[in-house]
Amino acid sequence: MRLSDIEKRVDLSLIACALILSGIGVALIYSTGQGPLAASRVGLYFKQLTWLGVGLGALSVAAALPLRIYDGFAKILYLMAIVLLVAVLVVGETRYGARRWLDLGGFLFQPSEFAKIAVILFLGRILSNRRTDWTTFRSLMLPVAVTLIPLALIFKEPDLGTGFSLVAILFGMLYWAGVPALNLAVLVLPVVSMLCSFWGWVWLIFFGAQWLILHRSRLSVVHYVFVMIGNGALGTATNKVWNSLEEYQKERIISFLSSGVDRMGAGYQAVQSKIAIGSGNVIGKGFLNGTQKSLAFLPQQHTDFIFAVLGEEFGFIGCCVVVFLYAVIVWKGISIAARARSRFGGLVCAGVVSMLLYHAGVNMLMTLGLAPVTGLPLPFLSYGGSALIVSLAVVGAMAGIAGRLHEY
Amino acid sequence: MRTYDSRHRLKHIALGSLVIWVIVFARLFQLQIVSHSSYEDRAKAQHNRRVPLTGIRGTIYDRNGEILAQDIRTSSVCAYPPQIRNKEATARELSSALGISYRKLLRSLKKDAGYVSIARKISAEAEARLREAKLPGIDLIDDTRRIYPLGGAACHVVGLVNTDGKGTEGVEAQLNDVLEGTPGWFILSHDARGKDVVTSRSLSKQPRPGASVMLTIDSRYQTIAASSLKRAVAENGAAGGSILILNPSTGEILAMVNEPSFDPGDRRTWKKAAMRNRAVTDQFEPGSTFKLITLAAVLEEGMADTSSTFFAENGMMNFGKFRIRDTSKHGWLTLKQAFAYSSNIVAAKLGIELGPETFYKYCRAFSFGATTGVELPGEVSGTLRNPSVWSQRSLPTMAMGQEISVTCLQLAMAYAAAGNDGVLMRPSIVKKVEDKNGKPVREWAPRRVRRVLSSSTARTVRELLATAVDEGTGRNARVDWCRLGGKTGTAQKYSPKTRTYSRFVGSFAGLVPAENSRIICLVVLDEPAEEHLGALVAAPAFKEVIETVSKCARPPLAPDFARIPFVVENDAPLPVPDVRLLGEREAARALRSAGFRTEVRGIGSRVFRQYPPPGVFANAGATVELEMAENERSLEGDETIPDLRELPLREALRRLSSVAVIPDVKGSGIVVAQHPPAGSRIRPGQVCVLRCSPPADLYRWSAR
Repeated sequence: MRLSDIEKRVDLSLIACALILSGIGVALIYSTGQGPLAASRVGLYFKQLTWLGVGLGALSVAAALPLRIYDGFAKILYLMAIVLLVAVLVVGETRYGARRWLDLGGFLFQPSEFAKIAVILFLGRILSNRRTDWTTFRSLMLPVAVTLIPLALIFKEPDLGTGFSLVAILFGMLYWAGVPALNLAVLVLPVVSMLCSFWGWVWLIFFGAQWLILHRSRLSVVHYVFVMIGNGALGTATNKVWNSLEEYQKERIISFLSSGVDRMGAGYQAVQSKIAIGSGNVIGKGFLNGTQKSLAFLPQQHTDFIFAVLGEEFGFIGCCVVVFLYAVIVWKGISIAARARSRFGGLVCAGVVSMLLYHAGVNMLMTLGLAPVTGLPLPFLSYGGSALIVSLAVVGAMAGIAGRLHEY
Repeated sequence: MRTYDSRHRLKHIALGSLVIWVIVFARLFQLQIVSHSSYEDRAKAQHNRRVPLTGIRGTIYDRNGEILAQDIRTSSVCAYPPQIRNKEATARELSSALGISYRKLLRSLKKDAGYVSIARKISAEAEARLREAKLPGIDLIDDTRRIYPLGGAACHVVGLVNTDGKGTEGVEAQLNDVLEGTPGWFILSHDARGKDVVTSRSLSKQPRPGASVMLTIDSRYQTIAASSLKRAVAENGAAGGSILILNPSTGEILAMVNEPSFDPGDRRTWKKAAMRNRAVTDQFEPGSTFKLITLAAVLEEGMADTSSTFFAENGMMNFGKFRIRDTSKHGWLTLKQAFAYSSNIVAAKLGIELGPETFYKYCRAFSFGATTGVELPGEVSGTLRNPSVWSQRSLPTMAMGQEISVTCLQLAMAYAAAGNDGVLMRPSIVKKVEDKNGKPVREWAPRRVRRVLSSSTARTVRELLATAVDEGTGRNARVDWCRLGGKTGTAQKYSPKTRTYSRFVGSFAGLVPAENSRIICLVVLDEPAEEHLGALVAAPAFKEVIETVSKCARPPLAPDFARIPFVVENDAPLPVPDVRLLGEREAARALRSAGFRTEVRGIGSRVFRQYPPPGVFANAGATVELEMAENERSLEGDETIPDLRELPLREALRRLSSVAVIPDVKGSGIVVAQHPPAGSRIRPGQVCVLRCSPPADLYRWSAR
């Protein structure tokens, strides 16, 4: 089989982008393992290289499998994911104060990563049902429930960053499935109401916006008023409950919301990340020469803040290249989703794009000091076996879909 | 109503992702390009520490190249408290090595700090001991210490350096910019936990050592003057005093000492009053020594000659409302006698005869009332009021040296002008500035200010000064080996406390010798307790100074010294006389009359050793080597090893030779340790090990 033949069956450029990114990731992890202060990171690049090999296998398999297999296995995979997530809460390995890993004979497997694939496939299966009118609110109940179950389990670990990635997947896929944007907005309203209730005038503005959204959505007046009152009550209750809480209880909730993150150090991490990136200038300090990295000022440098290592050592140009590669993957994903004849295939692509976009975007914005510091890896680049294998597998799946656009 | 429209949705999602990429791109642009420099600065500020490197300070030499002030390498002690396990034991060890109280040390070591400074600039013994002890958490940092081999003897001239390395007194302050090295630096990186990481790429700028300064001071004269002044002040119970020795033909200051003085090595002696270089910073009413100006003016104006006679009014004269007295009653006096006996009445009369304008003109010509511009800090101009504000009594009083304030230096320069054939020179204390390779950067050539007296008047003035010593008030200064010129002075000192002129300033200014003067010496004693006449307090001190100075002056001050004809009676062996403990001149005379030649070695007031030894028979005409010593201990017969630490090796060897100890030199430069220690008894064939270390390195890591 020649390369041109393969190209007919899979989208090679997509795979190339993912592999280049993974290669850059291995190089950066190697860089963080250099120097006298990197004792804990020595040799990690080799492990990552191993995962890359495994991931390449996963990618090939994912690309080769026909869509109906995915469709057929979606339910089972989803149930497996739920079982694994429950298992993690029972027998999981605890690291950094969170129980996220299953020890599979030396390899720490992260079921939440696997759950993402399962949720994408299962949601794809549910949403590909053409008989359902996806413009109604009732139709949303099943997909939301399907997402909320693993979400709740992942939150319990706790791992908010990954948990919210399920929300991103859900919204992306719902939107792709044809749920009107206003309906999606109504879904978010209660949460926004809870948040806005802490500032009186913000809450007022929120009610104005809410009224506009509801007015344009196709809700009946009864539902409309019900939602308004419900959100108002929820916001008031949240505010009341919060204020009646003892300090230590508030403290617990805050620490839950910022789980996995050194809260005292979060400001420090953001500042250090900005300094590392800012000091990189146009072409960077050169491979292995990052001072903020090698002098250990940059925290979590092989995982969450690996983008800052890139910024420091390869500068603006290096960052732009990586951003461009992500943009290509996302753009390819969207276009595959649009071209896929199979509604299921398109939805899966949309879910994968949402997930990658969420991870890459939030991680970069966090590294650049524009988003709060939540423990979230950068796909392909950050150290971590589960995430790398899953990312490569989903890219493989997309590439496979691209090769079989007419397949049902 | 919108339904499933993939193209529409495609646009939306693509747009959504585009927004994220644009935000990321814009933010990257802002951080890495727009604000790059500020983040780079923050990065550097975080992990780079600029470690200053101090350039070592230049050395100060005397005119013969003897060291007056030099930086030597030493260490400072610091501690890293977290690394110290047993704080009590460490404190105890440090306490015994450094002599700091145990409790104070323990308090420092128990501080909640990563770093504390324990002691700066410790002694060589303490350093050796600490290096051996290798206490964990205790570190020695290279530092420099400034040493002053002459100690208190040259304190006012050489001055002081504060802990920041800036000169605060004397030449150290005046030429601070020259002496000070150019500081350098290097970059020390440290990691997020504050641990130092020296990277090879650390930028650095090498410090440059400061230039060296050579003074006109002769350290031998300086020490002689210092010890004589100390003795004179103590014997007379004076409040203070100054001695100046200078070269009249160049204006170079050879010695400048003051009392009270301080020891640059001992902070406790650094009292404000003791720090003043009184010879230039304090003014006083000179009294009769100032009559030189009156006399010179009268002679220069041709109003009188040496044989002109004046009536001294039998010791008392009324000038309007007030009265002038002489110490002894005189009738008619020649000008020569009047000057020799220091008649106030005649001086007053001469002043009146000169008139205010002429007298003022001469005072100005001798540069009274103006600073001399010598390279020393804090010089004052003295007080010379304009004739327009003079009262009726001002002129006669000023003619005898009251109602006018001068500095020692101004007065000495006036006498130097007389000794320099009437040309007033500008005094100088700095001979030259040399860079670290010994190349002169700047040199001070003798500078004449102006001719104040004609050559013949100057000669007449010198003759009168010689008469004053031979027959007049200055008889106490007379020496047998040369004819001096000089003038005593006893000024009344106004005391603001009692509002009376109840205290005195005794002074003596002299030319050695009177003709072809080699040196000018001025002795001023402030508020002597009992005797107050300059003739009784200052003249003996003056004599002591020049007696001692003459012994080390090469060529001799007086040309007639050592020219007594040498007689050889026969060639038979003769016993060598014992000349030990005799002065150089007496010893030479004794040996000469016994038929031996002499060869003098070393400097000192007494013969310490002679070779061949006494009683040995030697051929007539043979040379007897005399080793001179000035060490007071050796004169007292107290045979102990002197303290040689911190002395330049050369000086240390000289001192050892004077106590008959064989030196065993290890290293070169400055003596940092000796064995046996100072004060040990000297046994025959005693060897003293001198451990030397070179002067400070080019730079040092400064104390953190």
